[in-house]
Amino acid sequence: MNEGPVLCLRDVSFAYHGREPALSHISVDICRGERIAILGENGAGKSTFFLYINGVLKRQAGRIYYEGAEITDKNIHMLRKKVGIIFQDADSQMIAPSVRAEISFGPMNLKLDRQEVRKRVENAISFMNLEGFEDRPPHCLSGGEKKRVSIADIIAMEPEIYLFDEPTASLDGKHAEQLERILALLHEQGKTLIVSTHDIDFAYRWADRVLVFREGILAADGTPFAIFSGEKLCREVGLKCPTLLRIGKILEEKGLLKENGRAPRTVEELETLLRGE
Amino acid sequence: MHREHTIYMERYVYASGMRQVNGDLKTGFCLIVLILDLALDSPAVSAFIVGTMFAMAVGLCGVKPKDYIRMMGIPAVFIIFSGIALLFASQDGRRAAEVTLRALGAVSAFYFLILSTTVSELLMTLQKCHMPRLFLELTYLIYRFIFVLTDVWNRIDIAAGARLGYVDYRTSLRTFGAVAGNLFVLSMKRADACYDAMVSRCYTGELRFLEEEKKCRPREWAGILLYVGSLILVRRFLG
Repeated sequence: MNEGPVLCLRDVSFAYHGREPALSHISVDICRGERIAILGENGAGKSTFFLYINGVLKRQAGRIYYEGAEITDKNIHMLRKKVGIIFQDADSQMIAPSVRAEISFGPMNLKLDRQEVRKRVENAISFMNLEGFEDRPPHCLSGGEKKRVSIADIIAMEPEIYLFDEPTASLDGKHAEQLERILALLHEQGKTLIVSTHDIDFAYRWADRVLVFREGILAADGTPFAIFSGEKLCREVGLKCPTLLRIGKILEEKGLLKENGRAPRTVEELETLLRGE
Repeated sequence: MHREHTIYMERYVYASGMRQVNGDLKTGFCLIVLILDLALDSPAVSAFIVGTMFAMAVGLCGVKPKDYIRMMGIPAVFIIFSGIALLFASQDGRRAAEVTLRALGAVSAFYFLILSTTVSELLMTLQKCHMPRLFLELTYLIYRFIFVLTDVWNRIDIAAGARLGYVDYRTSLRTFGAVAGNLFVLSMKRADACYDAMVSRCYTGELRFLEEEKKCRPREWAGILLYVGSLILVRRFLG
């Protein structure tokens, strides 16, 4: 596996009409199969970043490449095809009068033949456990069900990169767990996952890489451990230290955990580390 | 109150025993019944339609009789008042009763359509009838956003009420204005977000969805023939 980044941004800036830049001078390489968490305060540019790399927003300054090919106005469609966003508010994503029609909207726009559309819709329905909901209208679904439909919407388009905009923001514990399972399944399929979140513990536990946005600038880019260990950076961008990282550090100080540079990322890891000693 | 009513009727469709029946067939059937109700011009036929549609809504769609009568209540009041007006205008009691009954028959036929057919099925049928795309797409979006907006409106309204926004008449008026204004701003924002979401799913100006094709079964055809046959028999023997 020696391939270049799947998505590549070079010095990208973007401003909404007549306003301060929402993104300024962003350069980042995203590799296939990465699990990236995006952190930052509200209004730091996370959602704009998503709309930008999905090709919804028009390019202003800077370049963007997908698998090495530069994206221009002509092939911006490729970006929309290969990158899918699951919006934070499922209600504004849904437009069709039934779940089946809703999920078929993306694949129909890809101009696939009906057989293929049907197959993809069926797959997405079974992937998201939505059997029995096919004919229901969106307003007869609960919040968690709507979220599942909005994910199925994108799965049916089979993109390479999934963008989740604050997916856990309105979910209860059970649905949040379900969401993590879905993320794990997509990761197994080799998909690239980018999740914007305010949940520090989730980012620390789940991500391979963390990007921190602040006022439209990419303030930090690194492994969760590197990012959250940098106390100065965390203070600057208003990040709290993840619970487990803090516990790990305290245990290290007390000599209960060996200093091997491997802080526990999950409770289970912490348990094996402690029992192993 | 009205909103509850709408959602109410919708729920029946998804639990209805008619769900597996082809949408074109259901729409076609209701249209035929409507046309025969008007064309056969017979109070017996109209009464037969009112009765059988009630029986079918209860038996086939699983509607509770009490709910059905409640649903019929609203149009029935209008129709009966119009009937009374007609009675005074034409001085012909028999004619007024006939017209009233015929109108009730037509409403019954359409209630059966609403209770058995989903909006998406209905729109698919209209599409096959070459209804202009613009009309269909507007219908899709309006249908969806009726519910999104009532939901948003409900939330703003409850929040306003919780802060004593409806404590007296004057305040109520002011609150109502504020709620309406806020709703407008929110709908504009929502429209923007929705458009972004559509574009991100490769929307290029044409709304297209996949719909499941349900096969027409012979016994459904037989049922329609039987029904139309009995309407004609009623016309022939009961007038």
